[in-house]
Amino acid sequence: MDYLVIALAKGRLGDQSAELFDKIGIGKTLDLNSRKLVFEDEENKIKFMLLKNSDVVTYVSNGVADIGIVGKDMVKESQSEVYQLYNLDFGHCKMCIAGEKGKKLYQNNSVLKVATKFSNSSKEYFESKGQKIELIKLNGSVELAPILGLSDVIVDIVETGNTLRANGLEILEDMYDIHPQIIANRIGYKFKMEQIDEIINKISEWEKAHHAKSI
Amino acid sequence: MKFVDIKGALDYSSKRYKLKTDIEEMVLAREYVNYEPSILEDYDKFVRMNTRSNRKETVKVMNANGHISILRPDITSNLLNNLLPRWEKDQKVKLFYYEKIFKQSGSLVKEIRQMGVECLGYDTLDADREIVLLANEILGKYRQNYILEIGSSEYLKGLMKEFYLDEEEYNAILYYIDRKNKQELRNFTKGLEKNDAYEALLNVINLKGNPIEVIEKAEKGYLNERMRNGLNELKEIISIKDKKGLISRSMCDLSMVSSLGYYSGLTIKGYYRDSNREIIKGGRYDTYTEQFGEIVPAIGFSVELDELLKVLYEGGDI
Repeated sequence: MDYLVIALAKGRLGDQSAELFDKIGIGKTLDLNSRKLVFEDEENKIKFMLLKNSDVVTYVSNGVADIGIVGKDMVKESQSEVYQLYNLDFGHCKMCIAGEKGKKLYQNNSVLKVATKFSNSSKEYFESKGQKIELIKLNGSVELAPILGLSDVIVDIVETGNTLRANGLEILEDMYDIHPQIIANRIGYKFKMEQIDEIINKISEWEKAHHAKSI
Repeated sequence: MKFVDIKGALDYSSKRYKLKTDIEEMVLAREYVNYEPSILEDYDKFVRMNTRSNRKETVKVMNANGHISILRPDITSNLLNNLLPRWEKDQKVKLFYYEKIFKQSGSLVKEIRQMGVECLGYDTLDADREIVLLANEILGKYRQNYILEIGSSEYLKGLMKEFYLDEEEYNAILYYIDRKNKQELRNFTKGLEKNDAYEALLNVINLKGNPIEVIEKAEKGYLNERMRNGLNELKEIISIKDKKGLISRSMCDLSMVSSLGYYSGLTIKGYYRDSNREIIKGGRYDTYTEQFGEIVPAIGFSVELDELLKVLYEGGDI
């Protein structure tokens, strides 16, 4: 029998995912503190791989992994057609437009300069609002862009808003909610449907029983 | 596949030829006739007929007077374009093709080999059955582990008809169904809770798996004629004896969304575990033929020959 391959993101989301799997009795062999990147759970016929957050969708959509756990921000940004089987009930945050206090967002015919790590999501969002934008793709410290005059606004994930406030910025508009999703390769899912559905059912039951937010 | 040496390249090429002749034998045994469509199509006509397809992907060719043609981007519409203007009433033809289609991909022109069958003028369940059996035979010839997926565009279209939706809502709902995202489908459709079809809409995502069980489940909750006809069709199609593992290898997914506008009945897809692409894709497309001047019942499928060969070659199966 071939293994079910699960892609996890390194970092906090991966830790939370591993904890969740542990609760439903799979992935006992996962050791996130070791330097290993692939773990086998022989008992349940599952192989785990630890990847960079932004690569999880790529591995799943190319069929190297059957399922993965990753933030909805990454799934949306990738524009991939992977199945989004289950929204997990922890790690809630928001995708937001932020800028200096009182900044006007929609400016008729003038072009709004938007700095972000999420170019596709930003493009799609502003297009739906009919606002022309110039995208400035950044890889980190996005909050600096409006302060230093690189952009008018930023599009980024906001969890508490502390980083924004510390840099003198505020949320100008909420775009959508973000939470981790269990995604699946469209073909891998069909071959492993029973096993995958069973895992999701167990997770869903566990979440219901524990009011999930305390994970 | 790229090979450094001539021997490897020729070996691969001869395997492709073998694969092609294998499938050819199967379709010839069922009395399909070969058809060679023309390689050039008129660009303006293509744009008129295929308002939703991606024009950027077509490969343009300009002749001496500045007239623009394209290299055929698919076979089915090319074939309908050539045959339907001369169509005679009650005519029936069974065709197969083995051709290349062309796609512009960045600065490259991609050549993709396609093999496929089309039954034009056949509106019977027998034709649907034959298509399913043929697809099953091709998939099963090379691998034990494959999935033949069947669905009904009529069931889903019938279900969607129960709601009065504008285009944006319609597309959003189809998006969530396609991604099998039940939680977000529920969030998005909160305003529709009072509709009698609401539960059926949420549940359509769960209607997947063993075809006999799925159809049984769905039969408990159809809401209109269109949904019932879709289900009955599927039921009739799979009622054939379990020939060559057909039922054991097939699954039914009533939330199959892809190309919903194109198909009008049975839809099929074929997969191998070690390929990340659909090996076989097709279905019934009676209404699609209308834009070519004539409504002719039609059903067929295509085989992604390049992908099939690559998978079999890498697996050492050919």
